[in-house]
Amino acid sequence: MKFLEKLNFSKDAIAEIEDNTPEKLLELIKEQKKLVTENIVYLQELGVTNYQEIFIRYYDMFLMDNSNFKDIFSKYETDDLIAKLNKNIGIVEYL
Amino acid sequence: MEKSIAEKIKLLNYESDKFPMLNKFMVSVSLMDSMEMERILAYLQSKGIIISKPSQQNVLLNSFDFIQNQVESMEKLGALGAYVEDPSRINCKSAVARVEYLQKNGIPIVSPEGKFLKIIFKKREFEAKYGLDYLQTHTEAKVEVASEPIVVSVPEVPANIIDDSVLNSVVEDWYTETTVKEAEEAVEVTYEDPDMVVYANPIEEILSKPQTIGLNDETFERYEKLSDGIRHVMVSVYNIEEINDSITDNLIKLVTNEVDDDSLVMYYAITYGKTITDEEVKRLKSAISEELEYTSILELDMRVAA
Repeated sequence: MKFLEKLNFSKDAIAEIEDNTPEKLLELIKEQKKLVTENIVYLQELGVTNYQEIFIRYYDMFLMDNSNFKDIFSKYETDDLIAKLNKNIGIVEYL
Repeated sequence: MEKSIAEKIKLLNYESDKFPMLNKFMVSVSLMDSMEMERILAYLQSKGIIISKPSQQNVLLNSFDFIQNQVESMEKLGALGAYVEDPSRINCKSAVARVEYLQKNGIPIVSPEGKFLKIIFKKREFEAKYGLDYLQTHTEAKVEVASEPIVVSVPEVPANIIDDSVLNSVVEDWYTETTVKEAEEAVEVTYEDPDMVVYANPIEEILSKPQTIGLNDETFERYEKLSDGIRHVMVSVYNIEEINDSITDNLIKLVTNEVDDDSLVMYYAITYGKTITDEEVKRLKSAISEELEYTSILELDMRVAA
């Protein structure tokens, strides 16, 4: 999970992910680190400031194909989306 | 025999409004072992723990022994309700130790509102507040993780499947379910003899029912691609204005009668500020016409409301 450090995740944040994620998914996240990185970077570049929280809670969706992942977020007005995500990341499930 | 993804989804027994949320969490379904999944689901149910939404289903990727250990440990501590509130909390390997620590120190684990404290499941927050002593407090309930080699692969998702989102839930002051309900009341879909349809999987079944969908501009423009991903489709187009105060939606009703077994099927979208233009209607009719040539068994019911 060291690759997450390059994406600004602290060691503690990574430890929290490891504490809360089934082993099978941890393995897949490591195996698919390029894909996961692409999806995290997309959120960073979109301006989503709480992308780490989103990853910690909804890590499995970061294993989606990058274009499908982008489609989830890109259809909303960016500022509005970011404001809503800051207020409640629970909306991710319903996007 | 290992079950297909569609069969696994059926085991999850989601309410129909949860199906459109599935695509984001389909990877976890693809990784599940169906035998283990059935065993775990039955066990959780016996404890009153119900997986009610797709983001919680990843708990089924743990081994039965791990889950049983977690549940029984929490039950002994009188905190099983934490898992009932959110089954995905079972994933949290250190939660039992944190509950033990809090109880040992006389710290309430439930909020005044009667909900279990979220901090129990947040390592950083918990350790910042209470330190690392909880790790010493915890002496039993060792976690057993499946020792067999883990073989994982990313499921193949057909490139022609549109992967958007659905308006299916109340999210604070955002898009509301009321919008869908109002839209459904405002429009009427007709289709011939639905009894003829034989459903092969739950996704197909839910898609066989009219879906009221607001397409955003981008999705609308990509309609041809959308129709590529949805075989055998009947569409009704309506132009409903002033739904949900100032919001105007492009609403499309889709009825499908065939969905590939392993497909995530979806489209949908939430939109606002868009009225269907004559040109868009023309393009849409053309796309639908092509689709109907492909299937030739469904009747197109398409009209644009005043």
